[in-house]
Amino acid sequence: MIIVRKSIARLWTRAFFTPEPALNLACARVIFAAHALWVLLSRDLPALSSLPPEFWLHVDRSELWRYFIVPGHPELEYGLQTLAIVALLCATLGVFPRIACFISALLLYHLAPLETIYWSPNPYQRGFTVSVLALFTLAFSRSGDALRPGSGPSPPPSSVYCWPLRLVQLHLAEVYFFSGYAKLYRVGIHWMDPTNLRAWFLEFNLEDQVHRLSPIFTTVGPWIADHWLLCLMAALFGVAANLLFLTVPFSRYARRLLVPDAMFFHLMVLLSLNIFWINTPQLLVYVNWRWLVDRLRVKA
Amino acid sequence: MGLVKALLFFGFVALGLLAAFSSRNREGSSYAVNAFLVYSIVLGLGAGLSQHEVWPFSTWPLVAGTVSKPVTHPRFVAIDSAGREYQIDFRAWEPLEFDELMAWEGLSFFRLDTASRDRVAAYLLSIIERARERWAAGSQVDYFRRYLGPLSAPLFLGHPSYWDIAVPAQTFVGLRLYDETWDVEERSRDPSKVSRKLVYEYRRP
Repeated sequence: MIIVRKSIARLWTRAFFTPEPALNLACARVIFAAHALWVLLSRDLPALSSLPPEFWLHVDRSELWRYFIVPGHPELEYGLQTLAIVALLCATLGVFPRIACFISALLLYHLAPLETIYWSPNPYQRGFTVSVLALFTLAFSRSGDALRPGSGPSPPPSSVYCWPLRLVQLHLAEVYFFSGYAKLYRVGIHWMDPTNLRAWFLEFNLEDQVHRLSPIFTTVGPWIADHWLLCLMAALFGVAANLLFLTVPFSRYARRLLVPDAMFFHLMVLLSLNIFWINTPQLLVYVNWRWLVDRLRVKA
Repeated sequence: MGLVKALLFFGFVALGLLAAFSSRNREGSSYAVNAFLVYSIVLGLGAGLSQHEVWPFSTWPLVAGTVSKPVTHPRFVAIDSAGREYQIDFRAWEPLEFDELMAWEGLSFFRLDTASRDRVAAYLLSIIERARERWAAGSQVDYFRRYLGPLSAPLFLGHPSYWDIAVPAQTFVGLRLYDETWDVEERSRDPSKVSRKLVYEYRRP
């Protein structure tokens, strides 16, 4: 029993408390803050507060309270959005970065659900889900020790930069893992049946309201649908590669293989199903920036 | 249930704050940091494995289903005073997003009484007619691209930009809602194999 406990403690320490460069954690802050800013500036969330009362009739009151949403106050929401934009800019640029991360995470927790609350309290895959978790985690850690105005020479690698980075990476990896798991949980192993994948490819391409006008978006999907083996490979990608992604935060070999694989997967999903995976830029959080900068310096 | 989820989420925030304060001046693991890590991991796994969201700890059921046979999709079209139908560009719905609007329609629209439905339709018509007027006058307002232009974050699904080809010149005076039903295999062989049923119509008084 003691041996097991010691092994778990050793694994836990290796996973979350090994020395990590401050730059990598600071880069995570810049990546998530800039990404959230990009999505926020590409929507009009406050305007949804002014939807007519009929849209709010079937919304569970407790779901509104959960997110501190009181419909009918778009001016207030625009004010909060402005505050969120300023906080995200500060977090990106490293101006009071930890406070900025905390304020922006809190505001996004309130603003993001406006996008879907009138029909669903679960606004996942709209761009803010991982960002809220990441920005809070970055606020709780020393994410401002590098990449901020006036910061001196980079502090030596330390475990205080490891656990928050690993947790943020884990939050992103869970997106892939649960995307694979949900298919098995809700449908079962026959989700991977090539005929199911064929039906999905055909549906997304035949429903003209959900594809872009360029012919490339209506060519790849039907072509894959016509090839049994490609449908099977797509199914394996959709389940096996996604489940394995949970190893990415903890294994550099998994990172080298599965992160480029995920980029390829997103490209194929965009071309064949017209689904844009808005989290794609967040994959940069798996890059070892310290190693990259040092290497570029040596080459220069 | 929403309040329980809020409590679970703010437990994450509270433990995070505790971890931040307790680890201010020390390296290595501390009790509070470990508690925060364990809580975050358990809540994330709990939400995902049980497929019960505690947003932002979510369930991510992406394309996690089978295609129904047959499939039915709603389609709003605008009508002019002569009753001619026009496709509605997805950007004309802004600030509503097309996919969210369709999802709401599927869940709630027909749970409303007739008068409420007409009020919603009048509101939707006012949005798209205002957009059409601006586009026809050459001053397109694309809210989602107003800050970042072509660098704006795309929506989850792509949609055809009908009005890039031609903006309808006639004033919209009403909306029709159709349910379109088809079988994927049948329609892939013959694109005309779609049955269309008018389920709702609104005309401005």
